Amino acid sequence: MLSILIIIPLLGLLLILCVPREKIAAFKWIALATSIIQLVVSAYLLLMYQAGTSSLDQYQFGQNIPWIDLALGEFGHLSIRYAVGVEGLGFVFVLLSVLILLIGVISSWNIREKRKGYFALYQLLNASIIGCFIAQDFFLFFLFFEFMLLPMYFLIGIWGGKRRAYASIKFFLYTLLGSVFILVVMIMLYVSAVNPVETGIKAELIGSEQPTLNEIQLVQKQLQQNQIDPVHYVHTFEFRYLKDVKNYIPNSFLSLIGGGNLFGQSARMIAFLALFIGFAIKLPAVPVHTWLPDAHVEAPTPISVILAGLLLKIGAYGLLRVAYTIFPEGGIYYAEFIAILGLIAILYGAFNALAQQDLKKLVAYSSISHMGFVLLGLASITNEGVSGAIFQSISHGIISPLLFLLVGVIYDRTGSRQIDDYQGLIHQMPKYTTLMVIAAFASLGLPGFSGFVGELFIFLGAFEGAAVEGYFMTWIPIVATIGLIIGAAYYLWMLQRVFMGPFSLKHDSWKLSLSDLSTREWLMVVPLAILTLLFGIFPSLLLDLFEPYSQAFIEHVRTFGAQHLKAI
Amino acid sequence: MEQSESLYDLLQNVMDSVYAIQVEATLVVGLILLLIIDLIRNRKHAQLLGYFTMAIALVAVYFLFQQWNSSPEGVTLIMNDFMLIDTLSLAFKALVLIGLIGTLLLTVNGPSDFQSGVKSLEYHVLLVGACIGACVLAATSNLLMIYVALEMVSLCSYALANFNFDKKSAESSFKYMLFGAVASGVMLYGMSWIYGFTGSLSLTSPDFMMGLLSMESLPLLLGSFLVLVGFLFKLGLAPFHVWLPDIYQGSPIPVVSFFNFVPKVAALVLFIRFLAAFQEVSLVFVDVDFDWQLLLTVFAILSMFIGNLGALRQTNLKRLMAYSSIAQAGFMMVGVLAFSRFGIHAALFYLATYLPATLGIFALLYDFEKHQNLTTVNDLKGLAKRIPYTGSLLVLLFISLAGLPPTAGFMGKLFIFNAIWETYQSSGNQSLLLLFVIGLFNVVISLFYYLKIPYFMFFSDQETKNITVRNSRYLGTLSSIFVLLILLFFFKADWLMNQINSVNFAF
Repeated sequence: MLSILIIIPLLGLLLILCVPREKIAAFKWIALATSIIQLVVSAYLLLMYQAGTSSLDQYQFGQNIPWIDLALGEFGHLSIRYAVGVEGLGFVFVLLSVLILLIGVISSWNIREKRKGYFALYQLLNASIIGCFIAQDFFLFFLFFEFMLLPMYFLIGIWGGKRRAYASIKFFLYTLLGSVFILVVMIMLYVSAVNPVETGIKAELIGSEQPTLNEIQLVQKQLQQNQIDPVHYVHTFEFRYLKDVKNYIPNSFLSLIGGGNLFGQSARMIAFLALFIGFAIKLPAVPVHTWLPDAHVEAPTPISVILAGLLLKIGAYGLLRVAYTIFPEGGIYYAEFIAILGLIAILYGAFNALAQQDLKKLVAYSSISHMGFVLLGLASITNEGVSGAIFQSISHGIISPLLFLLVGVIYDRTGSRQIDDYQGLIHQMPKYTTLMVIAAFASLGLPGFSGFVGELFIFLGAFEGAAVEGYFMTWIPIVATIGLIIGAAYYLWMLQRVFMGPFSLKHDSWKLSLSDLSTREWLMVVPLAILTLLFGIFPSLLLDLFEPYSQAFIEHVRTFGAQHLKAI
Repeated sequence: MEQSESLYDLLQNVMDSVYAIQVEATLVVGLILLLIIDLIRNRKHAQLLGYFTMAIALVAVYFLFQQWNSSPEGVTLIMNDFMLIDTLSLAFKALVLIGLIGTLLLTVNGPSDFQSGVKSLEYHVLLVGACIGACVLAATSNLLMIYVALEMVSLCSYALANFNFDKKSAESSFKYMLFGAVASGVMLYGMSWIYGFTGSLSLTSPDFMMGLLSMESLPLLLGSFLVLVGFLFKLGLAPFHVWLPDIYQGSPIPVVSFFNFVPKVAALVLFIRFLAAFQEVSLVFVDVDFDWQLLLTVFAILSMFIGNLGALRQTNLKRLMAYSSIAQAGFMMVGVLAFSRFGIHAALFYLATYLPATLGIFALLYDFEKHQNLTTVNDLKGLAKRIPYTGSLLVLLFISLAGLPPTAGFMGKLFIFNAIWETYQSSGNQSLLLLFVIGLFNVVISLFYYLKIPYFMFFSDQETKNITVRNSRYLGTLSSIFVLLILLFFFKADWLMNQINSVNFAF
């Protein structure tokens, strides 16, 4: 069922490739159609979705078929599966992706150059983003994760601004560097872990494809006692097996007991750190954030929207889904380090945003600041903190596209994004100003908007994590609140400079072109503005979708994290 | 060979083993026929030689396929122990023949100067000759045979390198010959040492083992190192790589694509045989506190760095490919260095996916060079505007060389790094961990220049050269097929890998 969401854009891609280049108008309609169909499908999924049954292992709308099966001689087998499915976490991100991708298409309406290529790449990007959120096999996840880079590279590099070439290669190399870290861990993991079901079948401990819990436990027990011949091992990439230490081959590199050591640390800790670095680059966390402002400033508006709305979220998603779930002890052990990184990102992003002249850069640095909150929430490993982090991710995934779209509106009209070039826009563009004010207030976390809910939860969680659980020091969340104040400062200051005061522009000729929002622009910004209000006023609409997941997640991380820490 | 054997027995042995050299025999017969056909052929049928050579190669593939299906178990020595037959040799012969076919595909229907010109015959004869040498190399573990066959490959290569018939080409060919002759000499010298120690030429014979075991380790090390230098030279591994960029630049592209693959395949199989033989006596090396693996690890790391960093600065397309091939040779060595079955299989897989990727690139570069006289990276500026399809093909091919999904190159790198990791895990050798990490980060470096060509093609607005000539449809189709192959080997990597898994050898 979920696979349809990947197949639709791929079909769209095929269709686009078949249509001759001269039919300029057709491409955007095809892209729009695929996105709308995706929206309809995901609306249907939303109706069918049962939030209550969510746990870390209960995937819904899943599919799990063998893909690559290799015999490795004395090492056993290597099994890569096409395993997709969603639990609470993936599902909300899939919904967000479908929405943002649709709005991205609308915002791409006035792309004039090389439309065929643009929309073809857009479809590829679409498929790989969704694929990333539904993959339940590490290999599949990595495949989509890497594959996202190529279309993004070209979309920034061909349709971007003046320094697009520099920005696109920087984006590519940073992310690739991150994915090398992830790849290293992926190799270590699969060498160490086996799929108990398939191994059981090979070793003739299990008769059927649907084994009972007892049978699996028998296989795991025999595995731990070295009673299974390595020839029967079926090495796996599936997340659900990787997260259980009972599936690790005894004395293998990442096994809990008798595992390897690197640089005087347990290998599992190093693996967690490597994953953390990989996803932190994507998030991005300071100091590996420098690709983000460049990429944002140079990318065309719709691509900025996707970058901020979705690609950054994959960093957060990966941390939750991969790093914390597989190595829970790392999350607890490094909680303080992560919290401090979050704090640095919050403050550093905010102070930088304060100093920006370019509106897009301002939004980009505010993104860094807001993703810092996500890190802080995660570090707390409390239900509030993690729920807050997820909520903040989604909320930021709505608000930052809104801001980028709005900045794109005046950039389309005048070709300038410099704050100093505008003054008193409220007189010329009242509707635009209203929406900009809504977006800025939502982003700075005014109560009533979704940004507030996320940050509130994160601070609740962070204080609890610091004071009650003692994961990190209490001053960290206290200092982090400064980020909120600076956040208010740079937005309000920007609003004041651009929209208030007497109306004046850098060039008088701009006056004619600065018309208020068109119908198409309404269509893309209003739904986002409504959503941020809706989730601000009724947060449970969103929370209910992933609340069971985050509870299960916390329980998993805490119990197993503590157990593993003791064992190490 | 023992003294008591009569001449009759020796001849009988040769007669009995003729069945096993069908592939080489086909190539030899084909080569002679080529010479005859050239004497009597009508000059109007320009492409005759190309098609005939292709036919020879296909017949050889057919015989090879039959041998593969009868899948020999273990190692069978033939021809009085001068040659052997096992699945490893068959696999490498297959690679050589596929490499030959790939090279022929570039010229058989493409630009015509390899077909109708005066050098047409020589081109085909030398290609086949080099392949005979490479096939024999794959199927021998006798030092004498190794030397003779390697010289066969080399001599043909020296001549092929001069096929542009201009000053540059002659210079590079001469350089190649000088370097090559020195490398051969060094190798031969090393072989004489080893022969002196063991009294046996056969790497697999018990005498050889016993001889090695009874020797002091220092002279043994020196001797075997000298031999390895010869192999490393052929493989183009740093620091024995200096000849490579000049050759690539000076030779015509089909010849480059041949150099890029066949001699390397030959060198790699030698390497594997040699290491397999020495693996047995690795204990000897331990007591001089010398790590065999470490030395080769250093070479592999050097190779990756020199190749990748060198390629960053190149503007000539062929030189860029030359440095890329140095780095790729380093990656292949990583697989071999795992010293395990899986490692060798991974290296084989890597080779098998490296071939379509490079052939696809060379097909397109050939097209650029021949039809539009584009030879530098700068010339490609803005080209994708006119030929977006070709541009996309190039992107995929380069991505495969870099090792990103969804291409076979990714699977190849994944297997190789898996293999080295598994060996590290079981042996705890820290140098392998270093190799693993450095190898992975070299992937990132390599991306700089692999993306450079698509970057110039797609991201520049103005074209440097205004060219009106159309592209060759044939070469475009050819490289599309190669792209399909690298996609297929990604999505169905297990098909290829399960074939490779049946390759057996003593290790």
